[in-house]
Amino acid sequence: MAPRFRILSWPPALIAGLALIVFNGAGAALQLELEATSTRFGALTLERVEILRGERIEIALSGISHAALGPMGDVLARCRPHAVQRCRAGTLTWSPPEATPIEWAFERSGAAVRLHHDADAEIRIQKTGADSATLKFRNLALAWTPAGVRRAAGLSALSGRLDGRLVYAPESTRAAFDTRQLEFDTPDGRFAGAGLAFGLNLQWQPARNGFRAEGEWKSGELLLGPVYLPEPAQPVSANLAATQLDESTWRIDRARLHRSDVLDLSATGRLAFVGAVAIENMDVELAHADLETIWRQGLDSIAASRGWGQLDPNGRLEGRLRIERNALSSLGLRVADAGVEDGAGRLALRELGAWIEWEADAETFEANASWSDARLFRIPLGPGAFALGSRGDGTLALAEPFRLPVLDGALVVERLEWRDWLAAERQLDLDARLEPVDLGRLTRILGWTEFGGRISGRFPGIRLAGDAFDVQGGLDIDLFGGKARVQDLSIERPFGSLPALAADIEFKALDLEQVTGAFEFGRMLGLLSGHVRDLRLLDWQPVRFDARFETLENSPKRRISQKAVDSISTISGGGGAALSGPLLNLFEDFPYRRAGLGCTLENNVCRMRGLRETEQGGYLILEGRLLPRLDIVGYQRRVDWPRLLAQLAAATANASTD
Amino acid sequence: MEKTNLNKRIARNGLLFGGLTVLVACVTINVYFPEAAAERAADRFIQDVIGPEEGADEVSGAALGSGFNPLAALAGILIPSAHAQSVDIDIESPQINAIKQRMVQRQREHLADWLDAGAIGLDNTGLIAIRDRSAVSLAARRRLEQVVAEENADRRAVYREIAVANGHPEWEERIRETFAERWVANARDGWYYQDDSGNWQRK
Repeated sequence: MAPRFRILSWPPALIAGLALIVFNGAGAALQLELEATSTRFGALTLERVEILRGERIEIALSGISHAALGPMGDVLARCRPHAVQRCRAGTLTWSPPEATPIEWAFERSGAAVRLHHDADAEIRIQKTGADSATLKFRNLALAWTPAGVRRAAGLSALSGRLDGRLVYAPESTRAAFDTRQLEFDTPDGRFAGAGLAFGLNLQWQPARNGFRAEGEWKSGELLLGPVYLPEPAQPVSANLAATQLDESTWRIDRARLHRSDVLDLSATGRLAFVGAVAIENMDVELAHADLETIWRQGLDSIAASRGWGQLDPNGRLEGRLRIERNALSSLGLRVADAGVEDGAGRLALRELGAWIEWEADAETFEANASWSDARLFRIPLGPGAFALGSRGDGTLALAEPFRLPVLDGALVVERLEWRDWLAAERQLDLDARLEPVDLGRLTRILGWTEFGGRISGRFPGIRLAGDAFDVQGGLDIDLFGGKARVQDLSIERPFGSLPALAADIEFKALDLEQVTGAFEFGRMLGLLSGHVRDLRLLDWQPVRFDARFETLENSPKRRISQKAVDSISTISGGGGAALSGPLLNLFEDFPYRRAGLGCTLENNVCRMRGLRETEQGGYLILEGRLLPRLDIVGYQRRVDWPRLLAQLAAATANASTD
Repeated sequence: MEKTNLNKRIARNGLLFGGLTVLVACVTINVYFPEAAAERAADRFIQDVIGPEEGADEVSGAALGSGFNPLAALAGILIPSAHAQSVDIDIESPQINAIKQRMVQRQREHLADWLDAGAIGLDNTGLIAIRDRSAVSLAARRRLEQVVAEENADRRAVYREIAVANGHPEWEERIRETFAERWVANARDGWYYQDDSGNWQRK
């Protein structure tokens, strides 16, 4: 019968020594049963240690727990039966908490130990010298990682396979790891990877306190916060050389991330590990990056959430940044040989060059951009260049007036100030003018009914509040021999979901002959004034307005053609003319005294009104003069707006095929 | 002719409104937010977006089926015309319908699955919010942020434009609140929503 010892608080070293003796078979005759409670080995605590040496040799460690990582389960080492002399082979069973026990078979020969599990996973430990050893492993399942370790690494899931080797010697330790089908996830799901294959080489030289790492990302996809990295077409390589300066400080001698001609990023700096990693200082240099590739790896999603999902930039990006005490202290980025094309056809820039410079200490920010050719909503714009700079009072302002050719005219921004541009409540102040642009070309390009004239404008103030621009001042348009003025202009979500525009437009003394000529309306002579107030466009289509047009009585010639009579009838929803068809045909045109028509559009219905109400319950649109006297009276008050548009389109389409 | 009838009717209504306007001209009228009408309009919009639900609220279904709105008609008689318009919340415009179609498609392609999985939920401001990214695959997660932002941009535009289209831009917040409540009321079982204090609850 073996002697039985019960140890309550023996020193851990003694327990470890006894375990070693038992396993190595020294003192073969000794039979013992040893039991210790709650023993601590550094950060590890064992609730219970049982060492049995008799007919069986067993060491059971129960309730293993790490100070930081929590419970690690139980381990039971059991020698093959009748291994009385020395424990050469046996099983090692690890029962992690809340997981299936994993059983390893072990064999020892000389200075080597081999552990294997299910024939495919294997660990070999070879003692190669007095204080050197080699550890090789193959096909280890990362899913075996104890829950506590996963939690400490901030992961909610980890799986995949790991191969590798570790060569330990006092002067240098080298390790090489290869992962296959690595998958990981974080509790909030922001960081995740799938199907990852990484190669990692590490080297540690204690004499020089030098650490080197080389990594290669071969396949798989990665999600790093807002950045999504799809499987790389060519492997991405990363290198790191670092020196440990003292217990908690490391110097990054050189870190480099490289992927053939797509990305070349390097960094040097100093890190401190006090609890968490802190960057004391770090200089990052982006020697080269392909804008299109970088864009496709996360920036496109960010842009898409702001309505620019179809933006397609290309070009080169280079720059540098400096981080001091965990905060960005300076940044310089340059874009060269670049271009931008919006798949939705809103914007295009060619031969774009731009740079930004930012210094935290001096609170200075400068931005500069130029391009050779641009397009906004089909409107060709010429070359442009602007420079923005910050001022001491927290205002970001245009360094000098910015001039952008628009067809034969130009948009000139005299002043642009972005007050409190770093605060959440930033305020944009802008003084701009539009130098006269030929309306003929503009309307042709926009695919509207073509008409001549010139458009110009002055905008002494443009305010940006949230998603909406409020424009002070307005546009002056010379058209059809008269004038129009657009004011109280406001634009919401110009590039977002459902762009909206609101404005008031006044028209003064338009020459009806030119107006009717442009719109294939039939000929009308006279002068026309009117307004479109409370106009609201959604998706650039009118959804609401209060429009009224009336001819001026002081115009010398006031005549209306038959076709125009028909057109007016169409607009007023088929209101009849006072003369019947055959009689009308006798005359080419008719003199009139006054004409007026109004429409209030709301909920897709145009509520019509004329010069005045008639006794028959209609509204007078055109009042005749002399002979043959012709009055046009409308009866339909509510006209379906989409139908009216369709009818107008059909009427002008018929006319334009002449 | 139908036209004359219509004209007569309009003339008669005009007269009636005119008369009423004179009658109440000296009374201050507070334009109140038409809660019930807004709820009906929101229900209709939301049900169009998320599709019919088994055991849907029958009352709203019946009221929506016919074009006749008894409340609006009654209000039309009792309240002067300018205010009578406000009582019926109208959300039928081609532009809002176009957004709705976009939302229907997005709901079918992404949101329904993500709501079922609990990856996203209905927040308490009439928008959707990401709740648990790990509930969807890595590839889908990449789209999550973007699709949620697009949906919310559409929703914000809808709330604003409904308020503007009904002549009361200042109702935007009330309309948004109404929608927030109706999205939750119309949500399928198992979907997550935020309660008033911002905690996620499962329906």
